[in-house]
Amino acid sequence: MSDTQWTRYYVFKKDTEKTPFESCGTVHAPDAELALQNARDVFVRRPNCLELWAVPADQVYTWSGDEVGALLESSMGFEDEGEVYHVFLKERRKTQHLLAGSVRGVTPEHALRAALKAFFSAEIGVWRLVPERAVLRSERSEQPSWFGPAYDKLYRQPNFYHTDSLMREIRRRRGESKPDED
Amino acid sequence: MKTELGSALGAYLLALADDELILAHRNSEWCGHAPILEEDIAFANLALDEMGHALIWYRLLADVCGEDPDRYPDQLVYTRTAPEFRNVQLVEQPKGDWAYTLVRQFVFDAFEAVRLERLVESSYPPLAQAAAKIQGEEFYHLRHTRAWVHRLGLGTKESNRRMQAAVEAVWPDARQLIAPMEAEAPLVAEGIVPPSGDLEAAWLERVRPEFEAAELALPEDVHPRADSRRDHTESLRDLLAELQHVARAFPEMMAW
Repeated sequence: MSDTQWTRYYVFKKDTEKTPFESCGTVHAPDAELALQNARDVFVRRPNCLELWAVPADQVYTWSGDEVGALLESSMGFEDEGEVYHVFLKERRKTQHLLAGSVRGVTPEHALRAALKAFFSAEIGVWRLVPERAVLRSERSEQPSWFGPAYDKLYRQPNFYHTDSLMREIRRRRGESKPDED
Repeated sequence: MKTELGSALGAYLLALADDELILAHRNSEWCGHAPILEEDIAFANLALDEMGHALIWYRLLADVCGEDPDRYPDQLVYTRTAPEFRNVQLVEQPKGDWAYTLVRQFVFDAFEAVRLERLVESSYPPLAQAAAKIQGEEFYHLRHTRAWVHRLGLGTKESNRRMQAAVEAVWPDARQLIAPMEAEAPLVAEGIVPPSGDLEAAWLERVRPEFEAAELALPEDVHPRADSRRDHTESLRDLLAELQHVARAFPEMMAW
């Protein structure tokens, strides 16, 4: 059977000016532009988003905290050079991968060493690096149309519909109610 | 607003609202059936947006008619029969394949974008404000459907063939959108709405280059099947049978 799956893209989002970008999951899409659009529908609760990034999964480099320990010593005194990588970190016992900052690297491994030098802590369980060149981002100027509020759309919320109580009432009127349902 | 003008505006708003409602319902039929999970979510979202636009127009209509804006929309949606709906036939057609659904949505969104650009300048402020509110979301819809038109038009032989068939099926019915509405003349005279026929050039300007870039040909010299928004096909009756079924079975339960 041939593989009919589309490319997987990592999605990163920034909810407010005060919160950092976080890695929120992945979507499938035929290309980056549609990945960004799919990300908007899958991960954003409007209007709580300022900016979204989509990055092809094969351009996202991830190491566990245990893997990087061996590299730590050789990372000290390392020169930052090469292209920009964004560094997302997840602390052990926490769930979010948050943007810690950016470093430069000639290769992903090189960038990882630069990241270790800048951000190392034994508390970090996951190191995730993303080269800047692989990021497709939503335009801040188009923020309203991407993430405009849906406050007035109460009908989008499941608790807007009193289906349970209506069904009970309908059954009761039809004489179908069972004692334990009321 | 003068009574005569008010009833003309009411008729116009009813047409806008019915178009959005019926299209939203057709789009909602993809929920759980779209070709890929992410698109399923995106399209359900888009259907909910269209439903929201319908609600905006129905509520404005209630204001214009002096009806209760909380109850009137439900009354209109759940108790009218097919001949009382004023949507174009394009939106009531069964959802067809994914190509048909996308092409229909794209040409509808493009038309709406053009009309909204004029409605935000309406001399009737509540209408201008409602149009501005809808405009942002429509911008996003158009971006999404346009992206799909390109990818499927330029995708494989089969996707291009299906898209071309969809364009040919959609385009004649879509042209009903530019037919003047029954009562629009006095509204046009007061600067409340644009003449529908005036929207054609701007609409074509948006649609034609996108289809051309996607290697899809727009058929020339075609005409809608319907003469007026009072004409409907069997499809609308089927759709309403489903949409109104529970409300009609339990009319006293209209509590949502």
